[in-house]
Amino acid sequence: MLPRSALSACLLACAAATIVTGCDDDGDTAPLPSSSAVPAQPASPKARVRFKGDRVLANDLSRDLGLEPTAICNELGSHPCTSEVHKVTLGGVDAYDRQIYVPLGTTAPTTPLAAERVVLSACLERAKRDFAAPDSALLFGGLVLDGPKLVDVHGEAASAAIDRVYVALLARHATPGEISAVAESYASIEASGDPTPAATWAALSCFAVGTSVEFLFY
Amino acid sequence: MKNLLSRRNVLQAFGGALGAATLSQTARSEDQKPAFLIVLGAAGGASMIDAFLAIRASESANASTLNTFPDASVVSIPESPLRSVDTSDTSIGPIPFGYSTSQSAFLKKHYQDMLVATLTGTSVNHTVAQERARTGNGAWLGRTLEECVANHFGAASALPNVNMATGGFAARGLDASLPLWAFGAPVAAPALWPFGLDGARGIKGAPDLELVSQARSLRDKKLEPGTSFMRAFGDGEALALWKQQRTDAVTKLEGSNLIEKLNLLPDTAATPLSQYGLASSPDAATLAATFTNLGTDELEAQAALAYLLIKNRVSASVTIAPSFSVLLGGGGILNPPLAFDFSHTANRATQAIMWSRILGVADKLIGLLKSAPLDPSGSESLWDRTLIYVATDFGRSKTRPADSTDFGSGHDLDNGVLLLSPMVKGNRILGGVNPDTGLTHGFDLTTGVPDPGRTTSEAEIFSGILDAMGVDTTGAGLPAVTAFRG
Repeated sequence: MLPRSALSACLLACAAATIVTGCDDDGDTAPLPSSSAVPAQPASPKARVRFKGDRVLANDLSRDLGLEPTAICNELGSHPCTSEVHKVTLGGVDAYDRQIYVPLGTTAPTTPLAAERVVLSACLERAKRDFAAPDSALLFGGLVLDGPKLVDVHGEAASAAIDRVYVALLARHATPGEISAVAESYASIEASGDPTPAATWAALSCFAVGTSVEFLFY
Repeated sequence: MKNLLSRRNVLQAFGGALGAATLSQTARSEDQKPAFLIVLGAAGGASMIDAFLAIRASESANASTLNTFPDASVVSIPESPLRSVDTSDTSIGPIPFGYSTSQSAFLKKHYQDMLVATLTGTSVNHTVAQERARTGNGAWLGRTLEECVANHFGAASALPNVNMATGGFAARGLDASLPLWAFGAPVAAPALWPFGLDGARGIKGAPDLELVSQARSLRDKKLEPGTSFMRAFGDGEALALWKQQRTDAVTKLEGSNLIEKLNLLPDTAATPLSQYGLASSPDAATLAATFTNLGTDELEAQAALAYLLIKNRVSASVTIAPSFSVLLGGGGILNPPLAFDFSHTANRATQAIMWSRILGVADKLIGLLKSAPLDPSGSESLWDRTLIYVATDFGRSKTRPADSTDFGSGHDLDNGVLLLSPMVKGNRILGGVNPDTGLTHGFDLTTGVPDPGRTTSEAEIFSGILDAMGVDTTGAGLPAVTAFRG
């Protein structure tokens, strides 16, 4: 066993190494990896992942989308989705009211829809706020708009917005292919006659990423 | 609930309901009529000698110290061997709420569909005993009755097995070879749960459903497949299950408009459904008139949802149960603290109130199911093909302080169960009770003739219920019990 002083020295050295390698020249945190910049991911032999559950889902959405926990999702405007209505379905427990002490062992048949509901609500709220105050927008600022429509969805501004969604929700940059795929989805939204296609595209882009298994499982 | 996700489960889930049905050796044949199971959990220990096996004081050599009733309180009707207890008092032990209950009204109305079978359980631990009441103490590879019924009758249903109970009444069975859809889908808040049956409807400002569908397609076909995450974990069981559930949820749940068909809520200022583009179930008004405490009593909400799940053919099996939380209403106590288990403090009052509560819910469910046709021919009602199993943890101790009418009781393995269904041979007691001890004896499993030399096991009750419902138990190794069959 290492003496306490040696252990402390080792920990300090490790911490220092982390700080050095984790910072770029400007002192900011290192750039997030994009999928194209790293070797192809091999399949995990165990492939053991878990659904993140009610509390982590709520906390992640709150943090990633910059929303108060109470603003994420409320059924009929007043019943909190993750802490009440869909709590158990999303893998939570309800000891005091319903004597449910143990979370579900697996996702339930209704879990995907409950999760989609929560994410869609949160994404709609984020898009609503960003389009109402573009200057202080968190994800969807800087978009070039023509009224409710998006101008040049394949341009830099839209691509940057898509990338911000990925960074916020998945903690990595979007690949060129992902940016292209999300951008291409705009055409059908505008063609559908949606009255606010840019905002709808923003919300659904967030929804598509936020309901992916990469966001919902860890 | 135990995590029993196996590779086989996932493979079965891949097959979807129809495919899985072919994997199951016990799925019903096409010409077999559907059948529905409602497990009504009498949580805390419903004592049969405080109800349909009640003992009159005049019949017992130990009337003073045994849990017997004044003769006048035990009501029989000429048409039936079943008994009932009508009683009242000014308090529930130390709780100063009066009560007045009548089991005889239920008996008179439903005796032809009532079967009481004696039972000697194997556990006096609440959770364990509740679980064994549903698995027959592991009689068939640890499957629950609900899973057996869902597996046999529910392959084409959207959610074959829905469980709104808690504790041992909600525990998942142990047979991992069953298709995943046969296991209970949990419902914690029955009135609000249907909102989770649609990914977008009822969300203010949500885009057109077609656009949501396109976003799902973008996710599923373009964004997810090429990611490092999917390359690393995409072959795992949890994600395989998720992707199958995600597909099934859209087609079976969302596609069936269950968010409205199962919606119990009225369109009011407090629950403004129309403002969110939703409507109540077409049956909501009827249910509100039937279950008058729907908004405050979760057991009534569970029962109402159980009816809708069966009526809309969403489920083959539904489990409901009162909670252990106290519930006040109507100037009295609707649900004592700990439900039936408040008998520790006040046996007589608690049993009376809780039996009244259980029977009241059963009565309303029966009435609703009788009014709903099984199929367009109208020749049979849903009730004709439904079995309500009043499952309970265990019985209560049989003795009391001399002549006391306000006494506490403990847990006791000796008890009985109540089955309600036109599918059972009703108006019968299988087994019997010794009026001097309060202990029950069994019956011949084929003829039903009382047999003082034996007691009834959990496995025999389990087997008898499945037999009465027509579930194929070939190869299960269950005891042959045909005496329940109608």
